[in-house]
Amino acid sequence: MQQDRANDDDVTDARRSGVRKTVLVLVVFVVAVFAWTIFGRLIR
Amino acid sequence: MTATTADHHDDHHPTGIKRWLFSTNHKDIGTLYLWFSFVMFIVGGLMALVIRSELFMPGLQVVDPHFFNQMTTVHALVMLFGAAMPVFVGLANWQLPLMIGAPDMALPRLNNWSFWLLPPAATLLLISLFMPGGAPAAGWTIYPPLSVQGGMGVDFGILALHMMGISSIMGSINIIATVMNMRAPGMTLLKMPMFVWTWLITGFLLVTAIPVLAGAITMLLTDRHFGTHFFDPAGGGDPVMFQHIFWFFGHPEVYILILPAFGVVSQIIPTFARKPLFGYTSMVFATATIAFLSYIVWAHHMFTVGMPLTGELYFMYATMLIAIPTGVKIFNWVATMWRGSMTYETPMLYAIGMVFLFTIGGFSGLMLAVVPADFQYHDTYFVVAHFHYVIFGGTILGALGAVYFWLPKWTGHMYNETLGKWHFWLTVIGMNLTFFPQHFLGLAGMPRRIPDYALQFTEFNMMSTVGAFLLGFSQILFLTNVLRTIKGGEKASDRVWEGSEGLEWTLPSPPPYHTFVTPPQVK
Repeated sequence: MQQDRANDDDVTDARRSGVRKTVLVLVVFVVAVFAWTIFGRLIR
Repeated sequence: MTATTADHHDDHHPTGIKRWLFSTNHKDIGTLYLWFSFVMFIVGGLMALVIRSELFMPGLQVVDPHFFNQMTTVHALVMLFGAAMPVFVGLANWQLPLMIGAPDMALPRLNNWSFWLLPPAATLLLISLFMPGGAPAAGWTIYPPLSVQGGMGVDFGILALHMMGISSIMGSINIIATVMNMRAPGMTLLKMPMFVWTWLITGFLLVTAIPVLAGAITMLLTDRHFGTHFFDPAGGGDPVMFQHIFWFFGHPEVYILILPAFGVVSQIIPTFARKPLFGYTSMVFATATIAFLSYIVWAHHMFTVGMPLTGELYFMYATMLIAIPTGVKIFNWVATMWRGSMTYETPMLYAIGMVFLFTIGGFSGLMLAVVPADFQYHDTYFVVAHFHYVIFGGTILGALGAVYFWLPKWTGHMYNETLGKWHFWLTVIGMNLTFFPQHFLGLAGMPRRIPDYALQFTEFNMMSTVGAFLLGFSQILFLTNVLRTIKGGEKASDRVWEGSEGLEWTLPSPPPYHTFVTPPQVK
């Protein structure tokens, strides 16, 4: 049972870290696209 | 957490208004999204009935032309951003965690915020109708210079669009993070149900397209109030630039609306044909190909503004390429049904109806892709007929089919099949009566977005209006059926349908408040 719980915690930690990385990449991407849409017009 | 304690807390949840305001539970938030989108569907539908009432006869009878323009604009914005997009986010909220064996969405608090941005945004959009100068009236494409010249209602509309856009971006980030990180052990990407695949790809479309719309409307706002000239030729700007930016968002938006409906149909057809989906891998790649192509065809919406011949040829042929992956999907659905043990319960009727009617919209889309033909069809009722076959025939029929398909799982009760079938047939007859004559009106030259028209267009307009009222009032059957199912009815089994496959059907009907606290093992 303890081993199962340890495995579950590993899974949860891996998920948490994966979610953080995914969100970080996507937020940077969204901000970059928004900025490019506007500043791309300004430097035209 | 052991299985015993998990089971013990399975159905514990807050009650009253707090349950809905502060909920971080994917099922509650899914329910909120679904009810919100239904209310918006009715609001947008009532606006459509105002439009159709005015167009029942030539001349001006019901509303003045400026209000008519507000109706066409706000009807479209409400339907697209208030009904069609949120309904699939609602379905995703309910179903994705159940289908991939996750305990909830990856970011539950963000999920709550994503939803609760929508009601104030919709309120902002709708109260603009009572502003001096009225609501936005430049069409849902909010092209300058009209949108720059509009009253305060346009600012409210821009703010509402920003809020709905932020909600969509947060929702799609949540969905991508959930699908990429929360799948049950053993569920590899190519074992995911098609609805999950289509939503993953739609998520990527959303995070790419919505920031472009946000940029466009931000520039519109600064042109209106802060002295910039992004789209004003007098200051060195270019109104056509807005059209390019808008449609760089606008065309993927069409696939944002339709891909999740493709996913729904890919779940329903195998269930009622009692066969696995034909060509699963090709379906996945076709969906990804459609998503990619949607980003390189935007200027087919604006052939008539003028562009080099090479540009016209490129956008024409690139657009036609979309027919190939779309054809792959339609072929696969038909091949799934081929020699299947078919039964025709309401969800299956909706799935078949969707395939049929979306295909009509797809073909008229191909006609519009042909440059010389588009010069004739542009801004006519042919375009209105085309996109309603895609969005109503495709997206809305897909969403209605999804609700009938999963309602027994959500509520634990079977809906009334007779009422469901009546709703299907009246909806399909009403929809075709409304939109099919509009093809002929467009080919005969009737422009869109006008409150009055020449006498020669009267008969087809009358048919269209009768169809619209039939379509609108038949939705009462849907509401009645859903409410009756929530209240009670025949008990649904866990598997609900004989041919259902997938993790969600292994749960009780209705599923407990917390599910898959211990991840299932997928073989």
